[in-house]
Amino acid sequence: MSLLTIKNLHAQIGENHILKGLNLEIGPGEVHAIMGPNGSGKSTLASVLAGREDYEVTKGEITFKGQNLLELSPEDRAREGLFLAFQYPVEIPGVSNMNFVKAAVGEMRKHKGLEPLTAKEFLKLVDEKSRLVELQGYLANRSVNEGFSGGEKKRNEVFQMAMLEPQLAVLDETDSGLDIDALRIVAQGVNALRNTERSFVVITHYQRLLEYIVPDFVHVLYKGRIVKSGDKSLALELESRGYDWIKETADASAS
Amino acid sequence: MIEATALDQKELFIGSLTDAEARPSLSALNALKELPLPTTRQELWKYTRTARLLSQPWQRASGKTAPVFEVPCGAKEIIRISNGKWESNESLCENSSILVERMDRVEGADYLSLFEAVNEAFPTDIIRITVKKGVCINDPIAIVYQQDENLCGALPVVVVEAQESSITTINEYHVSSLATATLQLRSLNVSVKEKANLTINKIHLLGDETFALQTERVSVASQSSFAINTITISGRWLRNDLRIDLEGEHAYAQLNGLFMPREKQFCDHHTLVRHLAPNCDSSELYKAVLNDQGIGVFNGKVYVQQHAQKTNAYQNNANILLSDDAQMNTKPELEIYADDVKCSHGTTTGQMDEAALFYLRSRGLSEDSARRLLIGAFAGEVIQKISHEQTRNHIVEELTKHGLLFHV
Repeated sequence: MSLLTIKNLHAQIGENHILKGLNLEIGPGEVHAIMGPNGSGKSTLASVLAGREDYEVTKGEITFKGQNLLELSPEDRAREGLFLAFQYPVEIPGVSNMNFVKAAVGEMRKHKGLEPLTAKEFLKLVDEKSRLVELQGYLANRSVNEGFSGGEKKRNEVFQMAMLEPQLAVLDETDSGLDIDALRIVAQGVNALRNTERSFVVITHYQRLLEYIVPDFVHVLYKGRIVKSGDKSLALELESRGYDWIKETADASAS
Repeated sequence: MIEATALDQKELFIGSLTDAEARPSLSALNALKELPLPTTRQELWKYTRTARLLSQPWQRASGKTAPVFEVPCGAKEIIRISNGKWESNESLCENSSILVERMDRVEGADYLSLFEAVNEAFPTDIIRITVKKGVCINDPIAIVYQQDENLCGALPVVVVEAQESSITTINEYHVSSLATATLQLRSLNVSVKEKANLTINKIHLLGDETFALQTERVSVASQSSFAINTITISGRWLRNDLRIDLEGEHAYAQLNGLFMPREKQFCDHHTLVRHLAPNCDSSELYKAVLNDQGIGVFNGKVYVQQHAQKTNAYQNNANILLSDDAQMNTKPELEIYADDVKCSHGTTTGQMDEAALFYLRSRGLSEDSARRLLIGAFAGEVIQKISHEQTRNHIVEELTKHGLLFHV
């Protein structure tokens, strides 16, 4: 059974129609890359999945683990195992990074009917997971993302993902603004979390990230729909040929 | 006709709180004749509606002992003022580091309002605390003001002298029963002598029908330092009038406040810091979180006298409105007559940061927990100003208990 099924999804922000009949199916353990030109709706898809209220879904359905995802609040989606790595992680002065992650882990465990972690267990987990993204010892006594560099913010997203152990992680342009070292660290963190149950949606502009996080499927999003799907070689083809040939085919079949 | 009504109301209010046995102060009695009943037509009372307070049939509190409030800060010295009266009849002179005694009267001048004049003209009790020269007291001295008599007004006056080179913290706990209508006029006169350091943590744990008007007048001598942190956890209607005079060079005053008016609560801070000598610093941070139909007022004035050169004065008021019906009235003011000073003031009033809220929710925190976590971060800046850890923890505990913060 598929983990996530999106059928004929239409979404808008204000009067601006962005997603116009998007279909996508993701099975357990699969990595799907979503590429596409600017303004094609990639980040809208991420936001709609996470439940950002600015976006209105006007048509279509999203099923996650057999449930109607659109009926769930953002926090319930997270508790059910959906994780969004933000393109622009939010700085929250005064909220301790550790207290925040502790509260989030607590909510996940409560939802799964598990006992809360002891302080010792929690710290051990933090130590282990922060090593994945080379942030060990760095996160204590700091406010959420405050004063973090672009790379640190993205690594902190992957750290949170590792702590929360989602079933489906959506990475919204996690590679934007990263230098090559930070890109490698982020990708290494993501790869360490890959397993046969956990799936990923990797939204990116560039093929570069996909050299590190090798996808099972590559989709091209254009004008709010997936117009072409393939394997990892599609990403390479896009890198060398650009999007024009896809746009032309899509526009021709639409008219 | 309107004039006559206002006059009647003033006489009625004063009359209801006087007592034949009170020891009236002459200066305050004279001031009573001159001072009008505050109305919203007066600049300093523009947003402070007194109608509901004045319409209650108050009578003078009896001074009977109230149930014991457990002081949560580990204080060794506890001064209990129950229904307006100090519970003790004997002077306290503990380890000869502080002296607590009863006074017969206080004479003052330049009263901030009619309420202060009534307070000092007919006090229900006057207590004087002297912190002796050179002593350093680690645990706070606690003053517990308690009221549990319905429709009664307590009018205590407290005088504090922090003598030369002393270091002390005083925690004031203002406590009243939940649904009992009470009125408190409380006047605090403080003098901080040379090289002394005095901190006052004023904590409001007041009932839903409590009205309180509290005035603090503080004189700060050279090279001394004074801090007051006002934390309002609950209370129906509160007015804080604070006047600090920096009288000697290199004096420092710090004023911080946190208030969270909700339901129909009202909380008002009027502060006046007067820089009367050169090389003095003052710093103010007041924060409010307003919900339901809560109303807040901040009016902070910094006055710099002509010869008070090299003054540093900083003032900030930040507010979050959580509901459409909540209201915040804020007015920072500077009045500067010296030419070599650094003064800044700022105020912001906004809503909860929606992006931060979504970020927290997307990690599994409920909307309610996320809101309270963000409020905690906002309020934390003020709470962190309190250096006594037990006091700080108690405040966080109370705010959490009242559902105002999310504490991990």
